[in-house]
Parts: sequence; structure tokens; C-alpha cells
Amino acid sequence: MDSVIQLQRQLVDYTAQLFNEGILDDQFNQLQQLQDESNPDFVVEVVTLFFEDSERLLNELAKALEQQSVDYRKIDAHVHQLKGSSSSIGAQRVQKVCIAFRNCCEDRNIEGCQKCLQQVKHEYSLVKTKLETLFKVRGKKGKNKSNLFRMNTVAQATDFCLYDRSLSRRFWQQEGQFLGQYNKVKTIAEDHSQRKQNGILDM
Amino acid sequence: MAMATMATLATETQFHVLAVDDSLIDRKLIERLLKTSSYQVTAVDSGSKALEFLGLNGNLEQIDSNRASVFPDHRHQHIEINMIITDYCMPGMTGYDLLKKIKESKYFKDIPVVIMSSENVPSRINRCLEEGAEEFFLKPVQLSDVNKLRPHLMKGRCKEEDQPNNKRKGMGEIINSPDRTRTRYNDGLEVV
Repeated sequence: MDSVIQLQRQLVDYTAQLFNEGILDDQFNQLQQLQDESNPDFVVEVVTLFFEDSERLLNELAKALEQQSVDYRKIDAHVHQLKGSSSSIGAQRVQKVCIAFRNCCEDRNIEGCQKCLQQVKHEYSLVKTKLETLFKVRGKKGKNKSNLFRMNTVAQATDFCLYDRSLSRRFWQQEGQFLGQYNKVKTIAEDHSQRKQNGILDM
Repeated sequence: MAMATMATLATETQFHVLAVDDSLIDRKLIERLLKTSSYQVTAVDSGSKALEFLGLNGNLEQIDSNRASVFPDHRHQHIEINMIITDYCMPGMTGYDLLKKIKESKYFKDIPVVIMSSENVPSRINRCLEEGAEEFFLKPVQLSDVNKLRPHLMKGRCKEEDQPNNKRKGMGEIINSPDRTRTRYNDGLEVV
């Protein structure tokens, strides 16, 4: 059980690090506060939507910047959307690059825009990796009563290797049990976002 | 209002909010925020869909002098909505356009409307408040913002149920967070 507590503590440190580095901001905390027993997957669902939306927008941006005649208004519209969604989940660094990106659009600065696109792709990829690490496994109604399963976030073994090798070995032993639950939760999140695509949510 | 209708309303404790936002993520967020506060939520992705939902398509406005709740087999379909919260920046119809259309509607002009925006543009905020918006929230909207909605909803439903506490709280919150929201106060509220 000690290893579980140590794991928990290192997870808290890991999360704190993300806030210290400005990768996530307080809005992410706000999301976590909206999660409860009746909506146990809320954060994962929102973050999944953010991933899908961002990837679509980044593709559109790349295409738009490759055009012979660059449509800056269209690019600005895409960046505005990305800025909004990153702000809504607390992806602070992505949001900041979007602000700079919009300025380049306003100046019709093609090189500036290309640079910003590279930067925003980098920041997006970074926050995506970090969030995927945090949400690798969700223990929902597992038979296992350990604190680890009740926690909302579990760190990936590779990241933990940086912290403590003996811990990571024990983690991998448990990982096998985790994986089954992870796949279940992933399917639920994907199915959920698919059903909401029609644009009308009727409660 | 007829006594029968009053009795019906008194037993309906859940307020129904219509949320309008073209961003899927923001719709999900506002839906969760509102449901956490025990509101019933319908979320749509555009101003035109909002008007459609309200039964205000084009020039066709169904008016019922009784202001009754929705009855599925009733000829004139009126959606019982207690508040509309809408994003400002949307393709096609903006939140401001939607606000104007609602204020022009005989049936829905007294429904409180709240505008949300990711951009802090004073002229935009003032324009919305002058057009009749009750509040203007800066995105990302938080639970503390949604808590400010209750006084407007209570006022809309039953004037006698207005609690002096709510009004004072509203004033206090505005003073403490001047940058996040703007509220329009009319003669219904006391200045403390």
C-alpha cells in the first residue's frame, strides 16, 4: 500500500508541475470541480473533445497557410476557435500562442503565421501528452478498492521511470489490470462525443 | 397571471435555460455548469436554431395570451424557457442579433438574456447591456458566474419570491469582480 501512496504523492507533484510550467491554468481546476459521481468522466470527455477539435483546426490551418492566396480571415477564425477551446480547458500555453497568431493574421504576416503554427502545434502536442498521461486510466466501478483506482488520474509508467525505477516496476504489475478499464472508459468517451456531434443536446 | 397557472409554476422548481454556442466544448461546459446548479438545459449550436426552438422562425410568432406551459397536443407550441444564455461571436447570427430578436418578440422579450464572450471589449459589453442583456460573462464561464443567474431567474418567475439577500450578494460580487461580469440593474433591485 505504501507504493500506492507514494504513487499518489508523485502524481500530485506531476500535476503541480504542469501548473507551475503554465501548461495548465486554473480553468483546469474548474473543470475538475464540475466532475462528480453523477458525471465521473466529465474532464476526460471535455479534454477528448478538445483533442478532436484542435486536430481538426490544426489541419485546416496548415492547409490554409499552404494556399497560393492566403485567406487571413479564415485563418483568424480558426485560431479564434482554437484560442477559445484551449481557454475553456485551461491549456494556457496554447491559448497564449493563439493570441500571437491572431496578431500575425491581422498584420497579414505569412512568416509570422507559419512560425505561430509551428509553435501552436508544439504547445498542443505538449499539453496533449501531459493530459493523456494524467488520464491514462480511470478506475470507475472497479472491484479493486485501493485508493489508486479511486483516483481520477494515474501517471504513465514511462513518466514515472524518471522519478523512481522501483516504483515503475510495481506500477507495470498493476498496469495490466488498469488497461482493461482504460479501454472501457475510452470507448465511453468516444461514443459520447460522437453522439453530441449533431449540435443539439436535449436534456 | 391566472391563479391556476401560478399554482403550476409554484410546483415547478426547475428553471429551464436555453444555451446557445457554436463551440461544442463550450456547450458541454455551460451545460455542465447549469446542470450542476440544478437547471434544466437545452443547448443549441446557433442563433437560428435557438429561434427555431423558441418557435420564432421567420415572421411566424405564435402568441398565446395565457403564457401557459408546453402541452404536446396544444395547437400553439410554447416552450417554457426561463433564461437564454448565448455566446456573442457566432457565425451567421451573433449573440447580439439573437438578443435583439428576442427583445423584439412579444412573447419572449421579458425572458432574461445573458451574453458570453471570450473578448473583453467594453463597447461590445455596453451595447449588449443597453439592448437589454441582464449580464455579460467573460469566457471561460465559471460556477461563480452561473451563481449570479439565480436572482434574475427568480425575478422573472415570481416577483414576490425575490430575496433581498440575493440582490445584495449580486452587488457584492459585482464590486469584487468588476472585470468578469457586467450587470444591468433596473428598478426591480435595490441599491444597498
